[in-house]
Amino acid sequence: MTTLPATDASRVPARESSRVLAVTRLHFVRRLGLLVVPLIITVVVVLVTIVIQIAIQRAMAATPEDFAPGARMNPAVAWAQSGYFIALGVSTVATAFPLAASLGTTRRDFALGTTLAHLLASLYITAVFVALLGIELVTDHWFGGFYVFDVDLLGAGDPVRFVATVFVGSLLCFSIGSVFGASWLRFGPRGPLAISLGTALVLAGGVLLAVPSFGALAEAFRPWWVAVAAVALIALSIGGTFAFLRRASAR
Amino acid sequence: MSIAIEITDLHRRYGSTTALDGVSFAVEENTVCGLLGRNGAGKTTLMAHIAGQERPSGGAVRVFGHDPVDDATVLSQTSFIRDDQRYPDDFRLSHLLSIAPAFHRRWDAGLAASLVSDFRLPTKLAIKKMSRGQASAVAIVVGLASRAPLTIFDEPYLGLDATARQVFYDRLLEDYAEHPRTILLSTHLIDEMEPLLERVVVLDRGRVRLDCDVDEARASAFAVAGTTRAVQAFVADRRTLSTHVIGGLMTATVDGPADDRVREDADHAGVELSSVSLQQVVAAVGSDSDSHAGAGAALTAAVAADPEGARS
Amino acid sequence: MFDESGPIFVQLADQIERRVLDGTYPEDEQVASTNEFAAFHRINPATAGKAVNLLVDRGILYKRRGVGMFVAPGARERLSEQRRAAFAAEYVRPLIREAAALGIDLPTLVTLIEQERS
Repeated sequence: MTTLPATDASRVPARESSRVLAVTRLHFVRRLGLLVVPLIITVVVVLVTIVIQIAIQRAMAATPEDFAPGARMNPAVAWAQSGYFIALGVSTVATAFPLAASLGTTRRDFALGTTLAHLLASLYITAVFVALLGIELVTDHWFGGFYVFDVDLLGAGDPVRFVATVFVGSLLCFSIGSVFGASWLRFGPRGPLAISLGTALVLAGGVLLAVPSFGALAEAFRPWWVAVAAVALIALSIGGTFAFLRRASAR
Repeated sequence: MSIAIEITDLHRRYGSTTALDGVSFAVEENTVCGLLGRNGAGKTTLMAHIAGQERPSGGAVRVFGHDPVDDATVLSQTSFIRDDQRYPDDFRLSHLLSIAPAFHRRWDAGLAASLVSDFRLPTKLAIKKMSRGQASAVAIVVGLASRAPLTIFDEPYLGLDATARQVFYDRLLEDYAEHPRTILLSTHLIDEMEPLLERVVVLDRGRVRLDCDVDEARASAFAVAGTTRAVQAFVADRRTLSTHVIGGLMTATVDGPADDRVREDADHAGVELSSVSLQQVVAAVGSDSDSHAGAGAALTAAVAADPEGARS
Repeated sequence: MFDESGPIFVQLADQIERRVLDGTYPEDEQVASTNEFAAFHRINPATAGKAVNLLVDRGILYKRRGVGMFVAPGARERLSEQRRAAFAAEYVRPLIREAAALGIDLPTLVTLIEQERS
């Protein structure tokens, strides 16, 4: 046969075999879904919110000062993205895993690479939101007192709370989606069903336990509890994703 | 030469079904090995184990000396695009070609581009929307251009017309000659692909029935033809792999090499000998007639009872 | 180009020998490389390699490092000898058998041969 040397395949150094970044790039290959669509959703929500608020202002014939507190409670822009990000979380895991497996990736590298992709996407949307918040504040609320990003849910204009909420919130949506996607890969339709039921049970149990001490809890409640809970939930979801992927079928 | 793939007593059960039942064989590095067998014999399952995508129920798989499951070193050198490969929605060939090099360090973009053009593949169409033949061609492009040290093709010719298949064989041989690697491919088109293969492993019902060089496989059996009576006499004390009787004429595939003794006996019995194609050997191995020594006798009885067109 | 009559590498070796015999591959001249044979006949390079090795063993071809495969000097003569030795078994015996099966006696057979030769 030919005189080329046989490949001594086992001597490839470990770091050369890591495919974490390759997986991340795989997710971003379809830039449209991951980057452009959230941008479009955001812009559309901004426009729609402004239009609605114009209508309300006219109907109420109120001054901007009276109008502000109510408008501040509008969380539309936050919720609009959540659904989409959860869906993206599911699809990035469920549809990319079979291909990544065929291209030669370990499950660990896939989970890491996907998590990294979610982190980057969350950073991206946070940057977009920060930029738009900046514009909102600078233009005196879109030249007419319209509150889109400067809302209570997102920290009422406080940049630190804003960034934290948007980033953690996005990552949470991605992570929840990805654990559902991974459970589907592992157990088929029963996977997401089991998670939903399990979550419902845990929540119900938690509420039942908390009811007696509701008053005390409300007193002691601090906003950062939400942050901690969100981060814990993210960690749990990512862990769950890893766990489900370990034995998921690559078909 | 070192061993690329080593399978030892591999078992795989799915619930109550046994897909692989004690499979053992080895494939040397830098050879082209064909995995043959009927549908459901366990070929795809076996390849999935070799690609580290399935865990054995029992036994061991070693690729380049390591257990391939979740082993980054082995997996980074493996390419296994299945015949039912799933792609993300809206994923196009152009996307695949742009991302594949990140996974396969030896990726040759020039080879990929020329293959895409040879197969006339649309780069802007979602792969999910491609025809069966186009999807197969995509798998071939990735498999060949990856230059992965272990490249596995799962029935790569499905949906391809004869011209496209010849393109595949030619390009495979061409690239394999310049860049040797270990290639494992499963196929039903045995005679067509025989010139590509160096080694064959035949699976039937989850077990290895044949594991040898192509030349050895073809020399492991021969065909005999003649009148039913003459052939019966000839195969009386021999192991037949398959028989075919129509009226007073009979052919049989007989186990064993066509040595001088066989030739003498054939002369005496007045039957004609011929060599068998690889397809015939494999088909005989996969046939349901589980023949033992002396099957000729049982066959004689069956044919005597129904001389008209008894086919087994 | 190859059929079921035997291993592909043997058939390829036969073909190359025939070309050496009829002068298509002159002695001490280069023949195609293993890969070229493989590509031309659309077979696995290992198979082509087996054919070439067989011919090297038989002293029909030799390898010049870094250059390629060449026809060995005296290969034609060697092949002629080998084939002459096998001629009787490969060609004469079947001829006699067939003639016998058709009832052609020896004088008739000789006449036929002489007719064909002219």
